[in-house]
Formats: sequence, C-alpha cells, structure tokens
Amino acid sequence: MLTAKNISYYVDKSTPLFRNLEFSINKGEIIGLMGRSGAGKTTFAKILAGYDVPDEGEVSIKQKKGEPHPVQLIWQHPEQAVNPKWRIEKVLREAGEPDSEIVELFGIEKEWLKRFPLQLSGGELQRVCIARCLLTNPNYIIADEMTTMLDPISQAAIWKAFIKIAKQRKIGLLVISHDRHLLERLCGKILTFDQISQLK
Amino acid sequence: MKKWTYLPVILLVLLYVISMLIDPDKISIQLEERNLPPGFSHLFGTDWLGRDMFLRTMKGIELSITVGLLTAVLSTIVSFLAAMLASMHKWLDRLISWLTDLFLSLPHLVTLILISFTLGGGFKGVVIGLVLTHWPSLTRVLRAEILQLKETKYVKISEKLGKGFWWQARHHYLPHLLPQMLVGFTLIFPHAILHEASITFLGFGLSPEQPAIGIILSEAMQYLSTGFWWLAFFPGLILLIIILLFQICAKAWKSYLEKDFSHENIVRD
Ligand SMILES: Nc1ncnc2c1ncn2[C@@H]1O[C@H](COP(=O)(O)OP(=O)(O)OP(=O)(O)O)[C@@H](O)[C@H]1O
Ligand SMILES: [Mg+2]
Repeated sequence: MLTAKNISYYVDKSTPLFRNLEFSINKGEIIGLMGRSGAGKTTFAKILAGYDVPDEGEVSIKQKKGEPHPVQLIWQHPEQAVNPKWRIEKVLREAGEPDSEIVELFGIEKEWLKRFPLQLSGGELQRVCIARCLLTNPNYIIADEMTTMLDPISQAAIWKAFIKIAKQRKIGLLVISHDRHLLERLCGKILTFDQISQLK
Repeated sequence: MKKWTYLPVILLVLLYVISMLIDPDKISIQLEERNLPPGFSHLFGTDWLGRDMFLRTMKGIELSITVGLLTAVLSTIVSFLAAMLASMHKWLDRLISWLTDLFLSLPHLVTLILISFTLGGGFKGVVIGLVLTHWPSLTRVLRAEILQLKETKYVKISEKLGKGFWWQARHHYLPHLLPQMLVGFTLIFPHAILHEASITFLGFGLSPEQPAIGIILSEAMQYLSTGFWWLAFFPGLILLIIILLFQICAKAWKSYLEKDFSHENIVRD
C-alpha cells in the first residue's frame, strides 16, 4: 500500500498550500482525484512520486538507489517530459527494453522510433510517455491531467489501453482530472482534494 | 553553418600533417650555407649554423600544435568533469566556484610560469600548467548550462526512471554541452599555443633541445641586431597566422551557436 501520512507543504514559511493531508491507495486500486485549480494536486502528485519533498509528513514508498521509482508520474505536457534531442527509440529505452505488448497496446508505430519528439503530435508523444513509464514496471502510477489536451476519441482509446494494463499488472492508479465524467467512468472511488487535505 | 568556417581547420590539419612528415634529420648543420636570406633554395632562409629555417619552423609548428591540441582536449575534459562535479553537491559547487574564481583572478602567464616551473618545466610541465590555467573559464560556462538543464523535467524524470548521475552525465548532459565544449576547445587552442611559446621564449617552458617556436624566437633574438630578420620573422608570422585562423573559426562557431542553439533544433540536420 502507498500511503501519505500527515503531509504539509508550504509555499513559503507562513503560507501553507495544504496541511495534514492523508491519503492511501492499494495495488490494483483506481482512485480519482478532483479539486479546484491551484489547490495543490500537481504538487501532491510530485511529492508522491518523489519529485518534491513535503515540509512535514512521510510518504511510505521511496525510490531505491539505482532502481526506478515504484511510483511513477505521468505529466500533463509530454513535450517537456522527453529530451528533445533524443529519438523516440532512445526515449523509450531510458526506461528499459521496449516491450512489444505495451508498444502495440498504445499504438506506437515502428516508424516513430526514428523520429524526434517534436516530430510527433502531442497525443502520440503522450502515448510514448505512458509506455515509457510502464516499462519500469511501477507498482503505482499517478496520471496528472494525462489526457487533457486530447480529443475525446483518442482520450477514450488511451484510457482503455491504460486501464487494461493497470488491471492486468495490478497497478495502483491515481487519476487527477477536472473531468468528473471521465473519473466516474474509470475510477472505483473519487476523492476531492479538500476531502484529503484538511486545510482550515 | 557556413562552409568557410571549416577552412581554418582544414588548413591547420594540412599544416600539421606536412610538418609531421618532415624528417628531423634533414635539419642538418651545413656551415657553408650559414645565414642565407630567404630565397628559392631556402624559403625562410638559414640560421647561423646553416640549418633550413623553413624546416625548423615547420617542426616548431608541429610541436606547438601538439601542445595546443593536447592542452585544449585535456582542459575541455577537466572543465566538463569539474562542472559535473559542481552540480553534484552544494559544497562541491562552492569549492569549484572558489577555485575557478581564484584561477581567473590570477594572470594566466604568472600562474602558468609558477606551475610549469614547480613541475620542472619540459613538455609535461608546460601541458599540465596550461591545462590548470585554462579550465576555469569553460567550467563557468558549462556550470551555468548544467544548472539550467538540471531543472528540466526530462532530466528529473531520468532519475525517477532509475538512471544514475554518470549515466545522465553521459546521455543527457554531454550531448547538450558538446557545442559549448567545442567552442571552448577552439578558444583554448590558440591561447595554449601562444602561452606555450611565450613561456618557452622566457625560458620556463620546453627545453632548448626541442624545436619549439619559442626556442627559435629566443635564439633569434641574439641575431636580430645583426640584421638577420628572417630568423624571427617567418616563425613569428606562421604562429600568428595559425592563431588568427583559429580565432576566426572560434568566433564563427560561437555566433552560430548563439543563434541556433536557443531553438534546440540542431539535431535535425
Ligand atoms: N515553485 C513554486 N513556487 C511558488 N509557488 C508554486 C510553485 N509551484 C506551484 N506553486 C503554487 O502552488 C499552487 C498549487 O499548484 P499546483 O500545480 O499543485 O495546483 P493544481 O491543483 O495542480 O492546479 P491545476 O488544477 O490548475 O493543475 C499554485 O497556486 C501555484 O501557483
Ligand atoms: Mg496541476
């Protein structure tokens, strides 16, 4: 289980972004998280995945040296998440040997592999990022507005593949989105940010 | 990049290869041909022992280029490593910043003479002295680049994908810094050659048996007053030409980088 206990994060010394946040998720569980813009959802996601450290509190799972983090984060803007000077092949390989099941499932075409990130569309590149994240075999994935910039049809296709593999591999999934319909369709449980962070 | 920016490099390589092909045994003492002015049989004239000054100059140039290349390569590597180390830890960063500031605040030539002298002069002393005095400015440039790159998402993600520091150094940082390192290299090269010649001229550098330009020039000093102008003129001129060529080259590369690399699309071609 991935738990976050009593997490507080301060923008500066006197202004907390959130305080005493409590959260937990099991492997294989799919949880949705909503909240107003600027509430601190992305900041919380970064704390869970080890990109940021909270001012107070503990996250139960940490990265071991020389190994991938068991909690992976998928970012909203894929074009910032890949080295612009690398070919897609290398982008994928950074996470591990490309696995044909994943590559097929996310419709990653062979000819993309020789291209540079700027030569793919945002949606195509996001699929590469998802595949890359899965290649590390994470136990938990946080998808932060992962498909916000996509049209409804490609959105549906990506989520279908993603949920399939998450269920198959018993990955705990935290889906952050403003889209209530999407969350209701995907998640067994929907939380709001105010529910988990008791900011008084 | 314009084609002509390669011209200095091609010329230099040509010069280096030609000078390497020259057999040092051909620079023999021929007393009956002493102190001849430049002419068809001896392009750059001959010295007080009848040695051909063209051949001597070319051998000197070979040595200069060797010293320049070795120094520039080593300084560039040292700069990269120092800048990477600085990015590892706050304390290392302070230490390296302090060292770069220290070296930059001292005049090159003085530090160089001190280091070279302490190491007993000679080829090794000169090269080490040159490397130690020429790494700081490039380190500064690279350090700033690294700080920027360290903040990008894809580098942070790399760590979360389980990639260690030296893997990232090799795959993310090095390719990104390579253009800057190339500019640094082309800037260090002529500097190193000139500094080697000056300290050798002053007697703190290469030993007098070596066919260095600095040695040729300092020997020629004794004969200048007697009117043998060619002894210093041609070796000096060739040295100057090489340095100018390289500086043109470095300038062109630098302005090319400043223009295009901000868009980060160099990899396309
Ligand atoms: N490095 C930073 N320095 C100062 N303030 C920051 C920093 N990063 C984020 N913030 C602030 O923290 C707050 C929370 O940002 P965050 O990105 O976590 O919100 P969010 O809930 O993800 O919003 P959205 O739904 O719009 O994505 C914002 O008000 C933002 O301005
Ligand atoms: Mg956000």
